[in-house]
Amino acid sequence: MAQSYWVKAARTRQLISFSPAIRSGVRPLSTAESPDALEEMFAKPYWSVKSLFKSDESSASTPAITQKQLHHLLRLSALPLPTSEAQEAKMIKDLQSQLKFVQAIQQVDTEGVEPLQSIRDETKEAEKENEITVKSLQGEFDKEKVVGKRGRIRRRNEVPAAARDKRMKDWDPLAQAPKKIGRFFVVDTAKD
Amino acid sequence: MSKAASANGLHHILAVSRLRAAARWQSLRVSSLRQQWNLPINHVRTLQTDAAEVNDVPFRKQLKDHAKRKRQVERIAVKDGTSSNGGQKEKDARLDKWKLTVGLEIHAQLNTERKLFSTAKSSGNDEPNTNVSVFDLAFPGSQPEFQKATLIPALRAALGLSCNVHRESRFDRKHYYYQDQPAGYQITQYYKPFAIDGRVTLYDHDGIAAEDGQSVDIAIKQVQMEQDTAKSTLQPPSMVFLDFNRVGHPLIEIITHPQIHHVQTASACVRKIQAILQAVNAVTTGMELGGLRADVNVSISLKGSEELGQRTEIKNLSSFKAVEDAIIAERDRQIAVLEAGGSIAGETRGWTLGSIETKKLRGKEGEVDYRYMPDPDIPPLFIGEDLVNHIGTSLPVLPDNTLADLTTNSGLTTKDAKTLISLEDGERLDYFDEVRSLWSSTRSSSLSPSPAFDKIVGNWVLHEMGGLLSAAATPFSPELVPPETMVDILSNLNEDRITGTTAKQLLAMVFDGDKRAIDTIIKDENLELQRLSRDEYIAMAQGLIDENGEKVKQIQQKRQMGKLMWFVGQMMRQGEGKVEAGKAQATLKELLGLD
Repeated sequence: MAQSYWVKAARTRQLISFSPAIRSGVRPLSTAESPDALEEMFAKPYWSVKSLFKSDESSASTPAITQKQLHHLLRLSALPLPTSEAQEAKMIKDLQSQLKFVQAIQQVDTEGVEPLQSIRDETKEAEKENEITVKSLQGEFDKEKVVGKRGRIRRRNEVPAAARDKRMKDWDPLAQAPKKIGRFFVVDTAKD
Repeated sequence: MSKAASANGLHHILAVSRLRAAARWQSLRVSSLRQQWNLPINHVRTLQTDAAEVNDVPFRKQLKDHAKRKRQVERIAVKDGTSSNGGQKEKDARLDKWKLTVGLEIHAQLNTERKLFSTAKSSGNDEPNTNVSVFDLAFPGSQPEFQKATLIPALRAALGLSCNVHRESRFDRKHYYYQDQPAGYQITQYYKPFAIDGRVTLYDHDGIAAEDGQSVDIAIKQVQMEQDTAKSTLQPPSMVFLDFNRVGHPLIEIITHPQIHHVQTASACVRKIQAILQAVNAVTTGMELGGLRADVNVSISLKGSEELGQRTEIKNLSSFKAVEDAIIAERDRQIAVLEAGGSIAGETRGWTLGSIETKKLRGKEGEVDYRYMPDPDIPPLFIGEDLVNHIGTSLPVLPDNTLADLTTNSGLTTKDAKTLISLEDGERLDYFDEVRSLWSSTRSSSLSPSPAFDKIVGNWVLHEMGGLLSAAATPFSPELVPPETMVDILSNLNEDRITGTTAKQLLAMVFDGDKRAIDTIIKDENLELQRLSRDEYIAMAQGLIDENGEKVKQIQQKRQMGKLMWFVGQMMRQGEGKVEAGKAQATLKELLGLD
């Protein structure tokens, strides 16, 4: 049902002329429509989210969310468990209805489509640019030396201890700590 | 009170007193560490968790406690009549029926300057919470920056383990909440690790079980890069002190296929992997110092069946002995459960040194759903082929090849060669190489191997130097006895200008700080071997023979050859360094009429 909405919208886009000013001019792809016709077209919605709640098959196919499942999910998300029966019932009801949206999206056919991990440049050029080669690590290799006759590798100068990065020199990690003792962060696990 | 109850009571009391003793020892050790920060005195034990923890009780003490506890249990069992020595036969019979399968997951801290996704420096024993960046503390809005330098030791590890390196690999998030992980997830490589399909070959000299024969190949499923967690210290009853210096430090996780079937092979495998990682400079410290830890997966199945049983995972084993003991305990527990008709639950178990049985950490109800997800903030990792080739060709010599070289070309025994390789992280081996090649070049210009001479060098570098070092309780340094000096001593000895005793004397003198050249010392102290004439040998030998008629009879009639060496020893003592053992022995044999 949702798919038919998209088809309708696409067709409608083809019918609409976007600029009333050149409505009278020659526009090869659109047919002239009066504003009233458009008004009429948009008066009644073609599709509503409510349609996802109407169909009976979807409620039959989703098993009810059990209290056990709800508690498991809350524990995984480090959220507090419901304090009353009413609150728990509402949580389950909300979760159940939210699943209908998920199901609607699951209707889309993704056969053969790689899931998107993040939006970035995935061209071959970008790959080559981001490739880590000997050249990009030359600075690091120069910090090493070979010792002995069996190719043992050691760093030239031992990294000085506690030589902090310039960027972090003025920042004290403990400044934001709600509870600390000496140079340690303190957590009370009994509260868990 | 029944016998069993009193035994349990005694056991409990011993356990509690052991823990208190451990706590007292802990506080002494901590205060002696000369650290400036405000550390509360009575911190005892770190938590058994996903976190990589450092077991702070001194190792030797742990072993002693473990042995003592075992003896106590034995004594009680013998008293009760339930001694396990009688049960040993039953145990072996059970092992004939059941097959053990073990898989290893080894986590090793990489030898890098900075962390994996932030520019914070990696820390040794720095003050707590100094090497921490905003990303390490998961401040909102902070972003990961992959530090490509961390790839170098990671690739060395992968190539040392004969893996194939993926050109493209990705980072994923493993979600779980714990106080030692600020972000709420660990960045790891779950879906596409950077290296797969490696192997490690174990030989009988590596200490594998006798049942595994001369060698066994363990296949490695994958090697992946991941983040380390913070160091947490438990302040009883419920407070935890957190040091985030270690958060985000790169680790590699090495996962083997479940192909190990015997206990000693499992610990030998961990030891071998550690040796390889140390040889290629991929890690800084070994298991004893917390740089490496192992999780083992143990399952039992009927012998002859192809299918593997349900496995349980034992986490955070921090010593080779712990690996062995934990596997034995878990195997016995699983066999007991299965033979009683029960079934094994797939759970995570923990092991503390000195325990008799593994303890359940998490059951199915507490099973963590990690919700693995590709990390959208981190671009895929592309490793160039030229980089892999470069690292492959410049890889240091692996322990197996070094061992083969030392035993074949330098005539050392396997035991000596292994010791030489492992001492001082390879420094002793470098010293050996230096002395050997220097001596070889002074003797001849050819580079052909000379096992006879190398064996002498090995003996002196390992045993003579070793004796002096342990007597003086000094760490080894190639400066103590410079290679040239060592060569001088050995060549003088080899040319019979000095005796063995004198050579050892010279070594001790140089070790103690004598800076003169060897030839000078020999001349000044008049240490040169003054050869006794044949008549002098005969005279000395005859004198001894006349004095010790009893012993002569024993040698001549009862053929007790050991007594002959006694005579040789006496001659050497009388001769004060001028008598050569070989000549003395020959003279004595002649006089006594032996062949």
